[in-house]
Formats: sequence, C-alpha cells, structure tokens
Amino acid sequence: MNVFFLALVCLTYSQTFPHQEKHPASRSVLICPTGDVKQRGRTIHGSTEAAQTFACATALHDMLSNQHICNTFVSRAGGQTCEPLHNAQFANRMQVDVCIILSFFESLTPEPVIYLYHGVHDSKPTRSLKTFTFHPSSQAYVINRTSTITYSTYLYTALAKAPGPLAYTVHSPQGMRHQAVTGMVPPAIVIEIGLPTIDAWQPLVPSLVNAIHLLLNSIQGMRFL
Amino acid sequence: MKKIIIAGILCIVLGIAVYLIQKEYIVMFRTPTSSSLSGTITKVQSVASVLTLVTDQGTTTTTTETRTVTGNLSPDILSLLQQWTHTLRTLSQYPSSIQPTAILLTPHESTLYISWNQHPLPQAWSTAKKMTYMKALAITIHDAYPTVVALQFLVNHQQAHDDQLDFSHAWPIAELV
Repeated sequence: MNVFFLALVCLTYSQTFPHQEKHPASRSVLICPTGDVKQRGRTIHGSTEAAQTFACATALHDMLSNQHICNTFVSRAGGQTCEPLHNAQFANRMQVDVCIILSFFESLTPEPVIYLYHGVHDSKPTRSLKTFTFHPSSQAYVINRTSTITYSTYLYTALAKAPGPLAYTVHSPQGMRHQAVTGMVPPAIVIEIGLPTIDAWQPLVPSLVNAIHLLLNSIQGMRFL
Repeated sequence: MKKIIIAGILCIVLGIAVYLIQKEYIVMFRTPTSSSLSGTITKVQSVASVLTLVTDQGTTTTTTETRTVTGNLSPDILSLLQQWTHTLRTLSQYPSSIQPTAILLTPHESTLYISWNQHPLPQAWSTAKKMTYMKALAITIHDAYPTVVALQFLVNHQQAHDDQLDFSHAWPIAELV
C-alpha cells in the first residue's frame, strides 16, 4: 500500500512539473523573424527588415542545431506570407520553452545596439491562475508573467557579460505592449538590434547563440507555468 | 357653441405644437439655453504648462505658456499638444509634418483620443525611441490634466497601427509615467 502511494506521488509530481527534468538539448526555441513577403518592415541600408531578420534567424537556427544546444524552429519559411497571430499560434501549438522574436532597425551609432523587450507591461501582483480562465490574446502574457521577466533578465545578463570585448551595446529589458508578443503563451522576448551596416548582425550571431545557451542552462529546473 | 368648440380645438393644436417645439421634435429655430450658454463662454487665457520633451541627450522638461479656454478641455489639450510638437521640433529631429489634428475625450474625461494627421511615431524608429516619445507625451498630459487616465492614438480619425507597439487598446497613462 505504501509503495503504491509513493508511486502515485512520484507520478503526480512528474506530471505536474514535466519541464523540470528536461535536458537543455531537449528544450525547444522558436525564432520569429519580423515580417513576411508582404509586410517588409523597416528599410535597413537598402534592404528590408524582413529579409535581414530571416537571414539572421536562419543563421541562429543552423548554429543552435549544429551545436545540439536545443531544438530550434523558425516560424516562417522564406517567401511565406503570414496571417495575423501566425507566430503566436505556432508558439502556443508547439509549446516551445522560449520564443525569440528578431527585429532590426537602421542605427546611426558606430556599433550595434541591442534592446530587449517583453510583453509584461503592467505591475499587477503575480497570483495563481485558475485552471479555466479566459484570457484575451492581448493578455496571454499573464500566464507566464514571472518566467518571461526572469528569462529576459537571464538573456540580458548573458549578453552583457559575454566573454571577450563587447562589440555592441545592450540595454536592460523593457516591458511594453508589443505587437510581436501578442497572443504568445510561452515566454516571448523581442531582440531588437540597431544595425550601423547591413551585415552588422553577422558578428552578433555567436553572442546570441551563447546567450540562448546560457539562458537554457539557467532555466534548467524551473517550472514552465 | 360652435365658436367654443373651434377655440378649444385651436387651443389643443396650439398646445401640441408648443409641446413638440419645446421637446425639440419640431425645430423652428434654436435659441441658446442657459446650459448651452455656459458651455460656449470662451474666456481665453494663458497658463504655464510643463512640457516633457525628448532630446538627443535624453528627456528634459520646459515650461511654456499655452492657451486655455475655460470650460472646454478639448481645445486646451489640442493647444498643449501643438505646443509640445512645436517645441519638440526645435530640440530634436521630430518630423515637422506630424501634427495633432483633433482631440476627443470620453464623457468622464478618462480616455483621451488624439487624432494625428499621420503616425506620430515614424516607422524607422526603434521601439525604445518610440516608447521614450510615448512616455514624454504621457507625462506632459498627466502633469496638465491628471483626470486623463488612458491614451488612444488615431491617425486621420482611424485607429493607429504600428508594427511594433500595440495601439489596438487604449494605453493606461499609469504604465507610461
């Protein structure tokens, strides 16, 4: 009887905290480049934000996959048109651990500038959510409020303390009503990079991969919800 | 007897006509009532307002004279915003073509709708820069009109759309100040 009870407790615990036992390599990250074929985004040194973020997302995906750091998905293919909330539907259905949204703009500074944003824009106290609570898409972030803030802080720390001299400036995370994270239930972080030249994102890819790796190591053992 | 009946009918018809005019079912001419008179009294005066502005070095504040019209908030706020955009242009690279065109307040003056002639936050800007300008505008409005608790941006009286910031809902000023 005692053995049966112990087994029941273990089974319940493992079902309640399924992500606690995940190895970093078994975690999944969704990378969302901004825009699509129709919505080209901002103009960046003669190119478009959609093209540059897609190239960067592909480079991140290749490096993360080749180093077996995590399972990586890119939210769209080249030449694809995305419907509204496409990324959110993808992220929620895949139940990824982290969503990284890439966004670029043309910068006049001599070195790249990195801003981090998340969707937690109010300061309501964290409270336990009821099981069947309806949340509109604009408030999907409340489900992972704490995790989102923690993950963005980890990512900022990893980027700010990267080994070697920093070739970029990184700003601490800000919470705001961001279009890109609307409807996303998993922790979603927007990485917006100011590019002084069109290919200035390329040297940043190893730093971003390193930061994502450190983030996944840091969240080892954390509850997802 | 016949005259009495005719006089009675005339009185009834006249009474109905007066009632319909009084209730404004029939509008013959509009006379200003006492309540509408108090709303249209225009006592224009200048008051000192604190503008929070964005410069290349960061956020700064300046005090300026703005025109206020007693008893009507909308022209006052529009005047304040025009002053804000004008002063902003002298301090930073804010585009000269962007102007607030109309102001609408909800009945309890809680939500402020600002209609611009074009998007007030240029597309090429970074999201952080857009937020800095949003915060400066929110602080300016909050300092002058504390009853306003939320902002909603419109472009040509249509809901504003931005690729980064979500303007589909009114922004509570408490989130920005």
